[in-house]
Amino acid sequence: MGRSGGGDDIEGWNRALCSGRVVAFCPNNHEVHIYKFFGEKWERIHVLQKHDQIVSGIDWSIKTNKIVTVSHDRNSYVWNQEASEWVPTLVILRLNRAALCVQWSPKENKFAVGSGAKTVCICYYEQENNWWVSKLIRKKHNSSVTSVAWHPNNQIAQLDLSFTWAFGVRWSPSGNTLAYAVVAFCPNNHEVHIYKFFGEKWERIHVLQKHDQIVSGIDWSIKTNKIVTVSHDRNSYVWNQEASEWVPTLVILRLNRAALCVQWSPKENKFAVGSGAKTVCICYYEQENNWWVSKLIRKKHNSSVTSVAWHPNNILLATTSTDGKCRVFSTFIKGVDSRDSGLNFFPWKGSGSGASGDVKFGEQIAQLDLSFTWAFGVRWSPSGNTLAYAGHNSMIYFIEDVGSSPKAQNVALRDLPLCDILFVSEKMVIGVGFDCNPMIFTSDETGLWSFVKFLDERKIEPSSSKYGSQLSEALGKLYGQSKGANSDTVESSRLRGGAHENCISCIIPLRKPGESVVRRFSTSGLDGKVVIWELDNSIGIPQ
Amino acid sequence: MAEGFVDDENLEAIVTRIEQKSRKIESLLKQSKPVEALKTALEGSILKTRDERCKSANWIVVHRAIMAIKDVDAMLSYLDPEYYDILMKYLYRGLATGDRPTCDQCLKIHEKLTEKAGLGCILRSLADTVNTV
Repeated sequence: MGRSGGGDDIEGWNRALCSGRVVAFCPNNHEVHIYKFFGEKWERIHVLQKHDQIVSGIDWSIKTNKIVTVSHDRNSYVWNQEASEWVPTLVILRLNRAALCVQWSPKENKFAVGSGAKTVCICYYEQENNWWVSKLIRKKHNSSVTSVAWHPNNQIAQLDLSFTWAFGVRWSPSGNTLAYAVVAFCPNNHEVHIYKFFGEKWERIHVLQKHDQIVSGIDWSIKTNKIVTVSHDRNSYVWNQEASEWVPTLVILRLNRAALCVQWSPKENKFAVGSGAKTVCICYYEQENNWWVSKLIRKKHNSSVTSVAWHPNNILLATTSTDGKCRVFSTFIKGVDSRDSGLNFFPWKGSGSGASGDVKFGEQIAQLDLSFTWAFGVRWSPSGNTLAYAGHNSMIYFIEDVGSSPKAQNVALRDLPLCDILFVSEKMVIGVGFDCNPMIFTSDETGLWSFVKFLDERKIEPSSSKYGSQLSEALGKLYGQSKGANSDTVESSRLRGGAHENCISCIIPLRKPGESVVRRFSTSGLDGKVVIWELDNSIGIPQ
Repeated sequence: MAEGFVDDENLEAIVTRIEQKSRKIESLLKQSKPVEALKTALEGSILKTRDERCKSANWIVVHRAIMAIKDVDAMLSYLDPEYYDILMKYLYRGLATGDRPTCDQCLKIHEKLTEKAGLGCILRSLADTVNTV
């Protein structure tokens, strides 16, 4: 039987390897399970138990039949199969942080380990002493090494970049069949990087360099395949793909403060930009002059506009702002929008504003005063009937029937606030934020929204306190007593085992064409990671 | 949807209400029912007013009830979750006084309340600059 593939990341939880009909993976704990396919089903044949913390990397060498495992406990074991047992050999890596990834070299005489100690360990077998020696590459890395890859010549370990922040992530329209083919994001600087997934790993294919300051918002239109970027330099560029290059077109926004967020409209003929200048720019393409024109909504906002969201009818725009309010505006533009597209949304406006019934550009339809704190992450439900946004006071607000008789629900969160939300279906919302863990909210038959659970099930060790050592130390000082989590048990571990280690700032859906319910989405955060999540069938999505 | 704030004429009504509350709490405390006293004190505490005197008057009443609590766990299991946020706000007001016995008591309750209600409760009491106590 041939080998089917190398290390494959599944949802960031398990590391799995396929060697014909045998699989080795870590079920998100400190063990490694090996399963074999017998006839019709999978049976567990071995459990490798030696690590103390989650096993973060596994690699199985083809020719020499050795398994190497690395773990957050900063150790590595090389497992040899003797008779029917797997026997571990400790490899002292000399790390003071978790090991994150491992790979055998092509000749399988060395393996590379990436770690959170900003080092890479190259380990090789010393015959005389009958042990594995580790040599460290300490230089150059400024942060955790997230993945390693060997060049076929066995000599150069080509190391992946370690980003400090991944700012805005957008997915390309194509390539949702096998893997997530292309992603564009800003690695906390003034560029936009586009990566493509070739078979087994990510490769950077384009770098879009035009902005002078950090790129704060990116959106990639599905049908027209255009990328719009906005930046703190108060400019916006629309990028068109010509041949194999991305060509930018400047859009003059007429802002005197940074642009903060951007979104293409559903018909992709307009895009909205929120800014720190308390304005929202609606930009559309003028065919005659072959350029993008920007119209400003200057009224109403008292502070920075943090997030914008288009209603499915391509006319209404919801905005959230740091003045705590969520507003809905009309962005009807003569010549761009057709007259009858927005009519059915304004039943209460019908009699007042004349026969045509269309609402002027920039007119505020509704203002929601539910939160007294900064508001983020506004989104419409797929039908446009429900609006939801997150407040910085650990609340999430759901407003039904915005068009006719708005009914608001305030859901208080137990933990830290959310930064962004996503409507997976009409009745299910996923929120992400400072808890580093996506939260599921659903609406029941009566229309009542509530928190269901966290998406990332982490193992919480019984000994450590609920909040992790850093917070419990602080709380311990506050309460002036020695808590249960005293200095002996306060290891360097925080709540580990989760996909994200820092605030999640952004959540984007990965839509399969023709699918109305979102089953896959990506989250990106301040830890520099982009994680792809798939809602499996155990989580029923109410529609 | 903004909260309406009361004007001066109704201030007298509010002060009267607070005095009534105070008497009720005193009688509850005499009957050794500190938990019920606290609940009574917190009820109607979201004063729709910016007047400092009303807030202070209410704070005195709540403070009396907080100091009388001996069994914090029982109190928290009895108290409705809708009162957690308002209790947290008063705890911070207590911590701000700097008075030793008050701070000790407030810290004790703060610890248990945080465990029960989570960090979101703290955030809401910090972030809400409009409905202050």
